[in-house]
Amino acid sequence: MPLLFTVANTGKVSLTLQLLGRTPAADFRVSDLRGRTVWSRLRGQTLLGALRLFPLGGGKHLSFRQVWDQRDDTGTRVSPGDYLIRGVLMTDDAQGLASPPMKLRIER
Amino acid sequence: MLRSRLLGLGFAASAALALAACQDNSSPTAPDAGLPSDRVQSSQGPDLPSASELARQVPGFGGFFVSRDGTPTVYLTRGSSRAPAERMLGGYLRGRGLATAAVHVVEGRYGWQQLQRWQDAATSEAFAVSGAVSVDNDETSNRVRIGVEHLSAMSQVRAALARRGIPDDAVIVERADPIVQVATLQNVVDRPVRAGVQINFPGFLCSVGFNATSGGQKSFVTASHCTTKQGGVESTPYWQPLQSTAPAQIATEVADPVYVRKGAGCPKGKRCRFSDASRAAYINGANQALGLIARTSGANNSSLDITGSFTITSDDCATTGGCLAVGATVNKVGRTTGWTRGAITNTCVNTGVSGTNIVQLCQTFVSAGVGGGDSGSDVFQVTSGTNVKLAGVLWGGNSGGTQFVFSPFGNVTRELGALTTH
Repeated sequence: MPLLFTVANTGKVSLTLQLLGRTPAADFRVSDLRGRTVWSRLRGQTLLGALRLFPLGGGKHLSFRQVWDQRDDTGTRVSPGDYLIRGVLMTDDAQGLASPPMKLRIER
Repeated sequence: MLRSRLLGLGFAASAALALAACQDNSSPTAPDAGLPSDRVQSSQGPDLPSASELARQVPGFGGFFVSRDGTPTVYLTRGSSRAPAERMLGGYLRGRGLATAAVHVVEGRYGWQQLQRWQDAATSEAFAVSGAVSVDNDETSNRVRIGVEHLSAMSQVRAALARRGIPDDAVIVERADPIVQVATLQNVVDRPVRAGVQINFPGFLCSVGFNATSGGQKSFVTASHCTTKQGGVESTPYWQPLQSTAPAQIATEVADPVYVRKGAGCPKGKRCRFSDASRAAYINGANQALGLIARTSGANNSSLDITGSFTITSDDCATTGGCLAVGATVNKVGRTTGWTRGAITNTCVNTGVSGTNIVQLCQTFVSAGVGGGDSGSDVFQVTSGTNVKLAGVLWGGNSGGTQFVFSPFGNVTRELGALTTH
């Protein structure tokens, strides 16, 4: 399943984002409706801890693409049902900058 | 084959940034806009004319503010018409769903421009007195409000204002707490420079790892990826805390071994080192605070305010992988998450770096907080009081910010050579 996460500067003024690591990175996190994380792209990975000062001009955006194979963190295919997906821009804040959750239904 | 579909359109996050985009805040470390005081609500907005514009266009204008209950309030001197004020404030009020009739007019004694002139005069007089804190043309009281630290300053300020011909009735002099600039790991101009404070190199922020002298050269150690290019010397310039706030460069990168393929233990197709560490030489050696680490008020309390220093009195062993065991407690001080502490969970871990072909060999994992910008931080054990044993250099962590990874001191000296740290 292709996923696209876009972070847009909808204002007219350039912003300087403080982004974790040397290159902008985003996590994709899938959870069930009880809030339990099923899959995370960055789970188990070690990220560089520098903070990049990343200018994002007015009207510009950053995009991240990822394919989710509908497997959980253990590699097992997930059960049919409803799931929530968030994109999270990795910043200086531990919570990152998260998108609103998007509901996904796996039917069979 | 599973079949799935997204419920809804697109997958984008712009709302969180849209709010930030309304601020002209291109400086990454600029403070947030001030909160409204407890006396008035903020009346700032794109459609609100400036006080000086209101003073020009509204005869008798003496100040505008939004009261605690949300009522837009304007001071007008006796005999002044409210109509010009309503005209000038109409767009601002409509933008907030209010009619011009909502404006509450209060009789003011003084015009804004007169108060402004008195504020200017009072500023030079008041700040000649020891203990003066603030001088404000206060839109909520139609007076010049002066804050002083103690009673003796109060009488001295009043006397000085009287000499300048400023009516006593036009001024409120009151006791106020002094405004203290708090030095944090992020904003302090730390001279000499201690470990743990923020450093800036082009396009990035990191933390000072520890001060060290090598071959007589006064230096600090930070992460290798806190240089222009991870691995290899590019003479990266460093400022502290920011080039924009302290423009004099403090140090230049002088040592950062390249990452190598096919070395002992290095997986095929990967580039490896035993430490993510580099060394930068101070331009002025007097800026080096050898053996000192900035200390905050406590571990794991999120504070970034500097309250003192740790003193390095010893180093971990020079063995690759270090001599600290799983379960041992270590600490770090870094510019983003401050002082954090936790237990070592894994030692001598060959660690792949997300998004790269780099493997860091024989690294140590710690269950403790970390955030972007903490790279380069000192890692240490507290031995007694504020005395510490240096353990290594932090360079990474997990995406949740709950686990950090550091290169043990022995790995650092294996690659950067012998270092005097205290």
